Amino acid sequence: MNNQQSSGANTGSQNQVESFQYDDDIVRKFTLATLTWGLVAMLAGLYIALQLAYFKLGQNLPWLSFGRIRPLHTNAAIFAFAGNAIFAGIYYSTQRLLRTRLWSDAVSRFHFWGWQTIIVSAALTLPFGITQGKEYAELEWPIDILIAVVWVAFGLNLLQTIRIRREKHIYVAIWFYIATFITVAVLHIVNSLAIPVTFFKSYEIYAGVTDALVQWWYGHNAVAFFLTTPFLGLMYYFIPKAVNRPVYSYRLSVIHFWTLVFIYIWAGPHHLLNTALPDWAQTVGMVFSVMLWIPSWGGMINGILTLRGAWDKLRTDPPTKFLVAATTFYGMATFEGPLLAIKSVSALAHYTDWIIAHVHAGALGWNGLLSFGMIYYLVPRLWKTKPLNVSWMNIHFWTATVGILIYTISMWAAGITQGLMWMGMDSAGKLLYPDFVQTVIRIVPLYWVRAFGGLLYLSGFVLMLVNVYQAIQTASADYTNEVTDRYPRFKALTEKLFSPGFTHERLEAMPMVLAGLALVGILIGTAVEIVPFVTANSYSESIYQGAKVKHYTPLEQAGRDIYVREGCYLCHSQMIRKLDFDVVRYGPESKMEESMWDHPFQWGSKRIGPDLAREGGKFPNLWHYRHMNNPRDLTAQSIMPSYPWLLSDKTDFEVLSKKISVLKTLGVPYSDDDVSNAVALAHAQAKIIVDDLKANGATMVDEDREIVALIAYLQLLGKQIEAPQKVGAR
Amino acid sequence: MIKEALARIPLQHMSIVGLILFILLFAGAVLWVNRKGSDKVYKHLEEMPLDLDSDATARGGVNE
Ligand code: HEC
Repeated sequence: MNNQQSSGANTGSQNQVESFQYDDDIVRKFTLATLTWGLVAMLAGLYIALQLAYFKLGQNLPWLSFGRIRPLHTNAAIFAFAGNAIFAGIYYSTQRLLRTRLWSDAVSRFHFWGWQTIIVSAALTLPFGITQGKEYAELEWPIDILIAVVWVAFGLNLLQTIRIRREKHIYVAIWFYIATFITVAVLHIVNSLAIPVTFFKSYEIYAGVTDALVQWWYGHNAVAFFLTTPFLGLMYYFIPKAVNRPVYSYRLSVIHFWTLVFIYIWAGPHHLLNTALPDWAQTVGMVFSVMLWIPSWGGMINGILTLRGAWDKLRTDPPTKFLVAATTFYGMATFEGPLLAIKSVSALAHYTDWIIAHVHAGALGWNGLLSFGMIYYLVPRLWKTKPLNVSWMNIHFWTATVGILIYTISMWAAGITQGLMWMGMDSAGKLLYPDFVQTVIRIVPLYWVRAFGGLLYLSGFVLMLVNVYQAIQTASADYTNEVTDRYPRFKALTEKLFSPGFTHERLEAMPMVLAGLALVGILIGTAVEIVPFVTANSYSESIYQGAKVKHYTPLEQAGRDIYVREGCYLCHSQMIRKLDFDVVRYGPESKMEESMWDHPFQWGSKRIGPDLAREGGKFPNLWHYRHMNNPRDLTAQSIMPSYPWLLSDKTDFEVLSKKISVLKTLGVPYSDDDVSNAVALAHAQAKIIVDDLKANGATMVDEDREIVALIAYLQLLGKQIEAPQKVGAR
Repeated sequence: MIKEALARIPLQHMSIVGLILFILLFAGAVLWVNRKGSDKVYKHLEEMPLDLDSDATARGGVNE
């Protein structure tokens, strides 16, 4: 096939027509990486789904336990699968929209290999419990630094490519890419700030409510600016491309862009409704989440109506089918999101599987199907292959769609069922289901159904892998010869900038101004929400009203680090909401000050097990000892994993001085003595617990076992404030 | 100084402030996209993904 094309599209410019080649090799690389990591992400997801249905899976293997693999699944799905897909699509479309090769081959390659290194590092650290304990931001500080560097390289490449472009005007997709780059950079850097203790351990600089707010400002906007804006850019490029029609309304896309970028950043606190977060911040989060519905649907409608007059493509062209279904799922998920952000709906849905249904409608439906459609579109072009197998694409489409439906419907059912059971109280105010595990057993069958939905989705994906693999076998020998294009050189930029008068062309031709405006847009919401918490210490003192709150002893801190390492926070919240049924079940609502020394906060976002905020003193030490070894010994039907290694592995006492000293630097009121005597203090406290365990019949317990530190921590929960706490029902 | 200033921000009104900002932005955007002469620019922009001859390399692929 001849790959030398001439465009000759000299649009009346007097400038010189130039020949240049697109760098499609980098797009091929990112495409293959997307497919590879997609498989890993989905396998990990299926695995943890099965673990919830059948707790014995992977039992007694630390690196395969739920709390360690769940972060692997989310990171792989978001950063490895979706991430590589974004980069493939951005690099493909940007070059073509700007009529230029990417700025630097070297930087593109650095970006690619750097990103894969990050992913591999994640896969090698997360199963070993090396984590910062914040969702979607688990990776430890050395990897965080690498992420920042690689991300900046990507941004540099993008902005420089824009600078050297031949096409003056910047298509809306690229606006979305610019917003993605800028915002994710800000989010990642602000949320990852930490002080290292060792190469594999650090403490977040934020604590408690501040950390919670920063984390969900990050978490929500990772969804917004990593899983939404770049994909919207891809939608605005690939749907018109696939159906060969311009976007339904370009004007709408511009409004879509600015309103979305402005609103999204405010919505984070909807992850913290009814919690100890101050009310004003909750209200801001709720109001803006509801408003978010407007631009989201504007964008969805714009994407779908692009098919006007070409609806038959939905039947005849599989990539179009994927792209449009993806956009439909985007519409569903962004309808559900604002609904879930209403306080009273959140009271029912939060911590339940309803949220899991919601995120998978987004991840599998929107991000997944859009990536698949894009890759189906790209493969024949990138490798110059024979057409892909159409019936296989159709089968993939239906297994994926039905898989998503089974997945979301089962999780809606599970979430609403369990949520209602948690809320259930009789007229005397007694819980209908006082035993938490009752509410778990009820939904375990639905966990099987969900796993089946996931399996369907995965099998469709495997079919895609085979299809793509076979197509690539037919790649024409010269596929690596790069696509050549011709276009007049664009010199107008600098001329325009200095030309007299202010014209609209000037603004739209000025990416830096645009980037600056987008930055201002996201910083307004950020400033309003975060600054009051982060800036002045005295402000936080005033919100905590000089509360006298115990900080952790060295042994308790060691136990807390084990809690973080094992990912207990992925199944247990530590936040009793200001809701009757929470208070009756778990005890008095959590106060902001109770977590004021928590680096990182561990409020949690999911209750596969009960809340632990007031666990201290509820059970004797021996109960926890036996429960951690095998939860079924104490709660017959528990699905909690066993942690027998905590009974044999040793706590690292020596590092405690270092840890306490870092926490002291971060403002936890330890004395110099605490720092220098950390090890001795820990041993002394451990001895008391061991003596108690032995007195009650436990054999073979040594002070240095991890279980001892963990028990110390669990027994403190809810006891941070001196006042006696009423212990709730079990 | 800064601390005092921060402590004085009426945070409970932030939703309204944000809402007003949003309405201004929205109105601004609507006016902006309908500005004089925008027809020509948008016509050019919306066709950008389409008229790329280079893509002809793949003609004969599954989509055409
Ligand atoms: C897969 C989800 C899951 C993970 C991970 C998990 N748990 Fe649990 N946990 C549960 C479930 C379900 C229950 C309720 C049944 C029971 O009592 O075992 C529970 C119960 C508990 C209880 C008893 C609470 C009470 O008041 O009845 C404690 C304490 C506990 N878990 C601690 C932990 C710790 C510590 C970790 C991390 C090392 C952890 N859990 C990890 C699911 C989990």
